[in-house]
Amino acid sequence: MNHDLSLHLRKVLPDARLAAVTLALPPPIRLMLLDGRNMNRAYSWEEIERIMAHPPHWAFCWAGGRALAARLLEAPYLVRGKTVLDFGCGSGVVGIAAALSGAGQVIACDRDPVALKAVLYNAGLNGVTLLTRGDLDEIHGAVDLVLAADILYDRDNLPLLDRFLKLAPEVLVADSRVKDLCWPRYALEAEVVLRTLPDLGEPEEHRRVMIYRGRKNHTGRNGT
Amino acid sequence: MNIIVLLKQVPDTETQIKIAPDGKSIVTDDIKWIMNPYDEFGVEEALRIKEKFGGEVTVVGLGPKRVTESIRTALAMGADKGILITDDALEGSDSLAVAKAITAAVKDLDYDLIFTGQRGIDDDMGVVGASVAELLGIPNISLGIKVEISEDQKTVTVNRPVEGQTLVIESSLPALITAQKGLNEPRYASLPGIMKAKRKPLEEKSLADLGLDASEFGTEARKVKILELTPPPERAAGKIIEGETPQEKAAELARLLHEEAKVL
Repeated sequence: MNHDLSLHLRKVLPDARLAAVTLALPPPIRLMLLDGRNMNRAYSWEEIERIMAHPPHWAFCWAGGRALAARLLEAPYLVRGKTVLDFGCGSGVVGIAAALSGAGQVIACDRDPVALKAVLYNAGLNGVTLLTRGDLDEIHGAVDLVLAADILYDRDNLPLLDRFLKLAPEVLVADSRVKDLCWPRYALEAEVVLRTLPDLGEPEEHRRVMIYRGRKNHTGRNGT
Repeated sequence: MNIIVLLKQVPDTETQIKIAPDGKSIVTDDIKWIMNPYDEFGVEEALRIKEKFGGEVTVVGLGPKRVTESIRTALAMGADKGILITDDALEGSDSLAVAKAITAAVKDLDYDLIFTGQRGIDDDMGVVGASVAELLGIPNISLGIKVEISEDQKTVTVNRPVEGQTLVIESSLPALITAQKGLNEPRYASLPGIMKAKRKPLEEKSLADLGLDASEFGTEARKVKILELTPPPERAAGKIIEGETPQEKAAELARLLHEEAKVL
């Protein structure tokens, strides 16, 4: 299974290796991520295009995902007993944290089929079970909470915020790009500074993660 | 110090260019597209200045959606934001029209410096940089091979080659500088750069978004019209000198150089 993931990664990055990384959280989360030791060589035009076309987002634990995972582990009441959807799951760190915090069921959703393989592998490393789905349209049963980290870098994803609230009464979004989200029924809940793993050397601005909470019946400061 | 870099996507120099049946354009299928190498010098210089003084680098490209790849490459090198001016009505526009569209996209941005290549390696016009500077009403310094920002960040000193000598030019900011080979050695994109580039903002602007009238763009509105494109003459086949011994071959070669090539 690990071998399978490596093969997928090498189709995009022939010299890339995976390494098990432990996030120092209570309890620790183990993830198979890109080994950051040989990332700084020169990449050719062809490689740049190939990576851009098939970015292995799942081989990184992005700052937003780390922040949301840590939040769930310190406040397990947010997910306990609930059916939780981890949208744009990548490595699956958020869904794994939800499962470790006592969620009733966790559905990890990502349009990259390799990410879904990575999620299942990483879930196994942490002794939890997750369901995987490739698209929101494939989710039929009731969902109590939607979790979404690091998806708003693409502004085209903003309308998903409304879609999440059609799917579930509550949403938690963690993002390091949108600092002043002004969206009906969403409000800022917390701010954390964290690095992406392996470290991409992002500027401080991109390590600052905002956690927003969306509620179906919310009429707070940002609500209309 | 906020810097704008204007970049063009051009056919790779290794691409075999074919002229289209209309005789006025080239066949764009199967072309490998790259960032214009002179613009790459501009991106690199902008990044170096940003690393020294702080600020943001915004990359502006114009053309079909594929130009996004070149903008993403600049973002992977370290630029912060991208703007793609894209509109079907732009197809076939001449350099002046391109400069007008770019000017509309950058005029309200907060910038201290604009870089672009001294020319595109595709049509070798070298008009866009100077035209944008003129339309913006800012100084244009062409063919920069060395760029130095003053400590107070109020002026720029640029070295420009002239007939084997160097002209040193000082200008107030904001200014537009066109980059010449020798300015720097552009960096490669690293994997962190490439992964981060996927998450950097890239805005698309149509002519309508820029408040421009589409009828002033495209092939019909060209002030400079292309009448005909002709390929360079095909190279004649080489000749193998016959002869039994080196002496015979040398004698035959000397005879051919004298009688046929008429160079001796």
